[in-house]
Amino acid sequence: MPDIIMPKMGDAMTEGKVVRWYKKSGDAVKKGEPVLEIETDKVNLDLEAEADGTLGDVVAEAGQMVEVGGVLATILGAGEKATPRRRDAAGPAGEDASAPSRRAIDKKDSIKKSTGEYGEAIDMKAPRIDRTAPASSAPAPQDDGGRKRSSPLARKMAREMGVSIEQVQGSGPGGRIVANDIKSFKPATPAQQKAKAPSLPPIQKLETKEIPLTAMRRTIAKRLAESTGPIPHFYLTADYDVTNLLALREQLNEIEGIKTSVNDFIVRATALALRHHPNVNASWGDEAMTLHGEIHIGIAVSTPEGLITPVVRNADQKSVAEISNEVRSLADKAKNRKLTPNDYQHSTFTISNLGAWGIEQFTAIINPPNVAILAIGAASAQPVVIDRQVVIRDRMKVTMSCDHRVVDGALGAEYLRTLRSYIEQPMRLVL
Amino acid sequence: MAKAKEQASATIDPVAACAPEWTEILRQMILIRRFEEATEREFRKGKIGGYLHVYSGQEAVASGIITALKQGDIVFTGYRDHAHAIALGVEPRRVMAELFGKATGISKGKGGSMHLFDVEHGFYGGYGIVGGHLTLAAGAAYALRYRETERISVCYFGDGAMNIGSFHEAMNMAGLWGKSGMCPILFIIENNGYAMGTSVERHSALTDLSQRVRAYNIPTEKVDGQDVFAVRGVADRVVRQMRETGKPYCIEAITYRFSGHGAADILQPYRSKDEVEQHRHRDPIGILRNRLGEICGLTDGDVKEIEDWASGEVAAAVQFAEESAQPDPEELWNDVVAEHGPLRENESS
Amino acid sequence: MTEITYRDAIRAAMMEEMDRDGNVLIMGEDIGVYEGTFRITAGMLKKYGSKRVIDTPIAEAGMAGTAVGMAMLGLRPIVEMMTMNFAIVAADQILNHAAKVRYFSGGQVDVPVVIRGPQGAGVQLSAQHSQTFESFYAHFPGLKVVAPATPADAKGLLKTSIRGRDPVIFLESAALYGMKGEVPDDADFTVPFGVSRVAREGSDVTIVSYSRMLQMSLIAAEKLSEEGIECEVIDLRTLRPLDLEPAYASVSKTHRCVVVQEQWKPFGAAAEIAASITETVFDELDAPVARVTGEDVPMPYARNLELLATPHEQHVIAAVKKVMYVNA
Repeated sequence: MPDIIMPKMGDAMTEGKVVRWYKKSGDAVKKGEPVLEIETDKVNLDLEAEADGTLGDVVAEAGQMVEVGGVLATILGAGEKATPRRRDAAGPAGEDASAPSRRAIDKKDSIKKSTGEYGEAIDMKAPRIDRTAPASSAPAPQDDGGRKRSSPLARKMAREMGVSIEQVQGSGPGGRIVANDIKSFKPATPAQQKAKAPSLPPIQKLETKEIPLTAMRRTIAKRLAESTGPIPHFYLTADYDVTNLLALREQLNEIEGIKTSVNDFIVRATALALRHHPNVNASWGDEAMTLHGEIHIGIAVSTPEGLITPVVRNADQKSVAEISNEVRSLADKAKNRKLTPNDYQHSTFTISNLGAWGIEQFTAIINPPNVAILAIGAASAQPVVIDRQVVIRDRMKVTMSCDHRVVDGALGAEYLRTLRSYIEQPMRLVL
Repeated sequence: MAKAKEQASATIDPVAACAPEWTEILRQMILIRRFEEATEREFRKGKIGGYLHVYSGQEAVASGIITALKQGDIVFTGYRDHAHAIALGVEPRRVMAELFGKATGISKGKGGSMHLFDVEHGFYGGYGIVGGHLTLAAGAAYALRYRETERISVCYFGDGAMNIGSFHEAMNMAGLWGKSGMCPILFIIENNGYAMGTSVERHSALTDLSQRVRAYNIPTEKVDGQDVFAVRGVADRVVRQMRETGKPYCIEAITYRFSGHGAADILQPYRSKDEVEQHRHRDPIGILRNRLGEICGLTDGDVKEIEDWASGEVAAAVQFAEESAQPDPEELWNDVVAEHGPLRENESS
Repeated sequence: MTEITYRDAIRAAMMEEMDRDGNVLIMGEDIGVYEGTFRITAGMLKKYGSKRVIDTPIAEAGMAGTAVGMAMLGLRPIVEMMTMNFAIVAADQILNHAAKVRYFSGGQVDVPVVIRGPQGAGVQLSAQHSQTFESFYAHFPGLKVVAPATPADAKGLLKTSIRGRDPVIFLESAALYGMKGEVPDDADFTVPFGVSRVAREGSDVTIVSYSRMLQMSLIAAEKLSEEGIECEVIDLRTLRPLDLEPAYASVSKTHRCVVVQEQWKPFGAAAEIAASITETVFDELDAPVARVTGEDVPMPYARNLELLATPHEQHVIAAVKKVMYVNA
């Protein structure tokens, strides 16, 4: 005998409620006789027995919500027995009910259900693609606190040109940075830098270690050496703003007993900068590159007999004042031919300063087994453009010679960029 | 309810009346009835979505006209279209599968109950806009004549479709083109007395619906839509004539639907249960069966065989629909246009 | 090649196709005996007879609907709407029937009907007679929407429309009927759907348009050229299918875009085009895509108000300068 099920009475109906039973289990029913009353979102109506028989198990209680198609009760024909069913099996025939009795029918439930079916249909079809998600994985430009408006093209150009967009002034509506602003942008001078400093690469732990040469490195080395001599040199020049450095020096020199030279600061600066780039504080060997666990800065000194480079050992751990004293003492010794081997050996990096001779810029030759040398030129007052105005700043050029076997262009450039921070923000040397 | 005055009465020739064809027509009508009852059951179970408009009670209008047609004739109707499809020879399983929204449906599952379609059997739809398809049928008739064929276009619609704009435009153009023999269209008004919940008295300024069609210079006659003999009699005469003249004709079939307008029309507040009961006494299946029993010796056994056969066909159709698969997701994109695909927005690349 | 008018090009296309295929016929109000209110069908009744050139009663829904029925049975009917404004009453037959019968029948029938007619404003015909319909129809899958801007495209695209298997809404610009242009003589010259063309090359800004506004944009481009601004102008030709690839390539070059349409801004064709350009070539844009449109009002009668309601070269020039960040 067919079960009495919750019928679909309207095209949007997904469930109905059992209001009350006119008959109970075991009662006789006739075809066409009302057996229970149901409530749908539109109407209340009686459900009739489709045939003569006996009402079997009543599966859905009064007040219970039942899905369309769900069994409400069975009708037994002559001679049929009730098959024991779980009392709460009011879901579609054969399923266990999982829905607890719920509140009165709510249109939102049908929406949820149809959303579920929609979800199924979509899963069948394909996962949705959000085409509004950005295709590029480039990080957003740095936010300096106020949102800088920029056109997509301007941002793209800034990325490609390596320009930091927060440094650019926008000429478009609402201060929007547009392509033209990027095109006509000149990299900022230090005075334009905000108080918040650009981040430096992390300081690395100093330790002596051997790095076995890879096949690639050997090959590069061999080829470079063949064309340029034993050490393949290349050169990088950077133009630093030393206005602040000179001002700081002036202030320090006002302290009794202190007489520093610009070079002293540079020694400390180069040493501190080497902590960020251990590969520059290194030596080339036949089998391995050695990264040194300590920083010893050699300083080129001119003597009547020629050039010698006394070494300030552990220059990164000495203050400018200490460096200053030590350099003076070493220079004296050098001039008087009183330097010991300990004084001039085992540098890990060398600087050479011809500023006193008014040399603006020069290239130095690497002092083996160093892999780099920094040539310092004279500091002088120069006109520069800041905020579209011409101002006078003290500028100084440095040229770094690099052993390409160990230090490539990017590494050298990174070192000079780090060094810039220490030179242009000389307060770092105090730390 | 319009009285059956001016109705063509069938003069019953015992020889013709007992032709085997009539038993086949009874078989067809019973099949349609069982089919429609099954669709109602399946709808209540949630197997059929959307709307469901069943033809129970009106079978003689579909069978009586369609059995008079020849291969090549075409039929248009509204959304109460299951009967017409079956009468034209569309397999019940394909119709049921369409209602179930399966890939094996006659419209690939993309039309549903209202958009059954089978060009092979001359069934040109299946339309959901009341009165919207009449112009299509008239245009199709023009094309049949343009191509110098003797094929005709048959267009069913309800009394409710006679008040919308496109009805009048279609009637006028059919009447106009008919003047030069370029519109062999047979309009069939399935006048069941109600446009959904509104009776003819309440929706039509002029309730003599035939008169309204004659206003477009289209000859129209009323027939007792529950008597398939009568319907078929008119159809035979008219269809033969139309093939020669290429002129339009209209048959107003007075009929009645036993079920609500659609599956959601349960309470039927616009008519009384008594009225429906009374009309059940003029069940077209009963009328034909009784006549065949009285005149041709159709036995209860014969009828039972037909009933069992029909129930079996319908059960098989339901099973087929149940077991068929849903359309492939790719089907979503097919058939939008014949050339150039649609913009495929949300799929993965 | 011959220089003929946009109007003559349309007539030529129809007649060539009617010569080529006996299934092609045309129906419309006063197209036969009266020879058409815009003279497009002049001479056609005489040549093809009343079975193929059908004067209809004033019944646009009837015209469109019977055409759909004819098309389903294998004919290729062209329906001339006296103006596309009048086709609104046929919306059900076009949108619910022509556009969908193929789909809901599971692909069992083609509906090769062409519904064509003039649209647009400019001669004080007031609100009901001055509209354009590309965004209205192009929204619906199942239709093709065509809007030629030149006589050559009018001819080539109409031939493609007639030969195709799908329902086409062929939107002619009434203002362009008298425009002359070079048109190939070849009876098999067709222009494909879904292929935009670069009407003018330039490198400073991309203007995207179609139909009458395309011509207006070219005029604006000439004026801007005198100021040293070179516009690249893209003619879309068809709105559905829509080909924006040339526009994307152009914007990748110029980095700025102005879309020009005749009618109301809200929900118009320019919104679709601008959104697509922004989605696809976002990183190339130096400014948001600008839209030049008509004013959001029913078209008024008075001449000065009508001029105010319709886009003018000046609006295009101003929009170009805005996206270039150049002072007007």
